[in-house]
Amino acid sequence: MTVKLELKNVTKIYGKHKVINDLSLTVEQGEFFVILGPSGTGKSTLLKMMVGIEQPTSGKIFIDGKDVTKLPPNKRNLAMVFQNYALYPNMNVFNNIAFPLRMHHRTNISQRVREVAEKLNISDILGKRVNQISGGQQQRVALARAMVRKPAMFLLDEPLSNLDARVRFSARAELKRIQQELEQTFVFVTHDQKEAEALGDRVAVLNKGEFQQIAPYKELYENPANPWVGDFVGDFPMNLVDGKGFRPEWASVGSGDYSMVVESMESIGDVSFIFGSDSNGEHIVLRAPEKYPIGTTVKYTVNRFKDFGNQP
Amino acid sequence: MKWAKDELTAFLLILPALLYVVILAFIPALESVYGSFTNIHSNFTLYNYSFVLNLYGYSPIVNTFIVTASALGFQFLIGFVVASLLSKQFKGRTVFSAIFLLPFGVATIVTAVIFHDIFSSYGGYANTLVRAFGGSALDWTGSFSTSLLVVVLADSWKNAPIVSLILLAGMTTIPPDLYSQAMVDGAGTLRRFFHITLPNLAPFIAIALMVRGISEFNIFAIAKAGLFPSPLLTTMTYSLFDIVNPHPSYAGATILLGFIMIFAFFIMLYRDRSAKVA
Amino acid sequence: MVSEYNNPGSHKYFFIIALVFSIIVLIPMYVLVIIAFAVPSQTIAAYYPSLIPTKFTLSNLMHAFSGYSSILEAAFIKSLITATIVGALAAFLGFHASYGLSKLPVRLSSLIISVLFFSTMIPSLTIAIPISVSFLKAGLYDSALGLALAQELVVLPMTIFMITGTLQSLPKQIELQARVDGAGFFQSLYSVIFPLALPGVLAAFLLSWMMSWDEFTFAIILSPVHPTLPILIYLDSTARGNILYASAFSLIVTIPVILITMALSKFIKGNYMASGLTG
Ligand SMILES: Nc1ncnc2c1ncn2[C@@H]1O[C@H](COP(=O)(O)OP(=O)(O)OP(=O)(O)O)[C@@H](O)[C@H]1O
Ligand SMILES: [Mg+2]
Repeated sequence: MTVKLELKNVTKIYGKHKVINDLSLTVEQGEFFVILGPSGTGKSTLLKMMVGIEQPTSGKIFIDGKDVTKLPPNKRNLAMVFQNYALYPNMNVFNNIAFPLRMHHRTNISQRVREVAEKLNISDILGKRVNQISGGQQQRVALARAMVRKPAMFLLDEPLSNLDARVRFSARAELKRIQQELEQTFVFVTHDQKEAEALGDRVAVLNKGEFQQIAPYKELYENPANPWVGDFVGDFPMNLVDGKGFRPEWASVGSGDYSMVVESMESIGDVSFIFGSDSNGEHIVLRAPEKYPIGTTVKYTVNRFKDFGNQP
Repeated sequence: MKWAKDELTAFLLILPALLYVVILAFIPALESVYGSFTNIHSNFTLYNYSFVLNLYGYSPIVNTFIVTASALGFQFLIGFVVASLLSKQFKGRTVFSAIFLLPFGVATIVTAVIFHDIFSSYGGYANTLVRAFGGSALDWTGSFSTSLLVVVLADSWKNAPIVSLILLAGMTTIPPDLYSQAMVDGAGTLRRFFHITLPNLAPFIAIALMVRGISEFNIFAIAKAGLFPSPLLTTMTYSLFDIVNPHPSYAGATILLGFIMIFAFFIMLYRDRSAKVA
Repeated sequence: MVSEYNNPGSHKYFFIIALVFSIIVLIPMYVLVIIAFAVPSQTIAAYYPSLIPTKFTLSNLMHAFSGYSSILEAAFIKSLITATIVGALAAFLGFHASYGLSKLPVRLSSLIISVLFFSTMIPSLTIAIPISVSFLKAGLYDSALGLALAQELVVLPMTIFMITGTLQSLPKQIELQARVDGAGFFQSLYSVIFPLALPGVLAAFLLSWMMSWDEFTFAIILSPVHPTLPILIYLDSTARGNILYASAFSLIVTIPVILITMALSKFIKGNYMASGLTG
């Protein structure tokens, strides 16, 4: 695979606030690359530098091996979908999708718009104003506008976060389908782990302007690079005992050398989890085959550990 | 967008407007000031000022202050009443607020004509009213005090709506809970006005004072159209104006400019002080 | 929003106070209308005129317009041209300047805003007198263009503050999106920002138009020979004592402006002026 996008030692400082700290990164051709991180960690800032709306304070950005650090967005041939879609409110759906083509002086505009609309199932709303369509439709229009001029790469900033839960699920599946069909490079920003898990070939975990780990989601879950990643990734924070981490399903409850006092219980589907603390006051989550009354002491065995070594 | 190039373009977009203001406002203003201290031969002189003072004395200055203060006082009184009224919910509120705004759309000179008709000493509607109360017809614009009344009424009719609007905008920023709290604490209407409304409105009062105060110093069309025969700084400057030798009128214009600058300075001071308090 | 505790029982009083106020506000306009339409013997020629005339006529207006048509027409056209230039220039300069301001670092833009604000403090008379001398030399004296250029000063800062307000209310990402979609600086300015800011720009145009239509000080100094409507009215009412004509012309001046005021009432808000003038 060839390298599509490369960031070299990129730093971004707003005033005195260092938002992105010396990041380097390569995204490969055709990859669905997810950037995952809590709110305010600089995800959007990173994307804006890739697309050219912001310039890095220092460092370089390469696309297809070419240094684009100083190029304005209209010279980079990238497409971006913003968090709130940023549809042009004064234009109808057709004109929204046609806008990038017009800006690039393409011909056969109408035909191309219809083609893309067909692909995204929005042919029947082309004449509508953008404030007359649903959130899910807006998301497709934004995507159609991004796709229409066949950009070198797609950058998406939490494009699913404004959708309600049910639509979000199908939109996510659709996005993955489109990406596979186009065989294009996607960089996708989210703070939702489920999205990262479902979509990403690789996931970069960002915190406080630094990458904590870049790996497929499964690897993040099973083999977090540091306790912070272990804590952040997964439905529950990774349990920590003696400086070593383990996931709930890596332990068996009933007997063993470890114990904790049950504080609460929760069932997700047909699996139950028990929450408690051990004698050191560490919070522990375990998968439990049966119910345990609150206040009882539970013994368990850990079958597998993730050793963080001497990391903090 | 942090493109240095875009910022340059942005600055170039502002430049025409900026140059415009510099060339057509600041340079002429400086010319006025410079011209007031020189004669037609561009020699330094104080003659223009002594000429103006000998001709008019201090009365244009005094009159300008009296008119400004009276008009401001009256407009703020009306402004507070109307703004308080419009901050309440009652039937027809939107229609009333549209009606109150109407005079704002009437040209100043038309306002002058109308009030001239109303306060004319012959055939004036004001005199009809005076007679109905048993008085005899007055020559409204004949004496200083009555002409002051007329000019203040005319000017306020047109301009009180602006004061009301600015104060109303300010009142909507005061949280209603503040009033409820004060009522619970036992503050009556007047106390609530002085302890809640007034301090919270300070920045808006400053704006209204600035906007209206400067215009009052510049009151011209209404006075010139016969409602206020005593000299003001504006009407005086206009009478001095002679396109062949404008230097005496430059002196008048400079005095006017000077007083407005002093006025604006004090309003800014008040605004900054009230901002610190709030 | 309601700024004081609302006692339902007091609504009736508010209504009555508002009604009384409205009548007081409307009386002067009513007087203008009856002077224009009632027979003079019941208005300006009566020693104690009544507010309720009984005989009406159109001859006041017809006399004023026919006996005077060429001068009136000239004044009307001059006012119209001047106001239109003022409005168009304000919209053009104002839109670009406001957009530029929104793109500059705050420190620079607030400096520029202070300069603009400061210019509004300079009295028109102080500016008009030296300008008249320069205009005489430049051949702009007594011309609609010259007058418009001067009146523009009165409206330009206000226009910039108004359009700046409109631009600030636009969603920021729209513009970024346009750049990503391939629009250059000016393409995004004209094909995306301008259509969105159009209501504000139009309002600024109309307000500037209206201020010029009403403007007196620059008009009397810079265009005394071929006057605009306000100056014509002034000359008739004061210099010539021609109250009937002045009232008739006043009606012509007032009608378009009242219409604009009503159309703009949404924009003529205290906080607009406030936002501009707090700088
Ligand atoms: N133009 C700017 N000027 C100053 N600070 C900024 C600017 N843009 C972003 N920031 C700051 O940079 C930090 C990162 O912002 P960013 O929008 O990149 O976060 P994010 O990870 O996208 O968060 P979210 O998930 O909430 O969208 C925040 O603390 C933000 O306040
Ligand atoms: Mg973000």
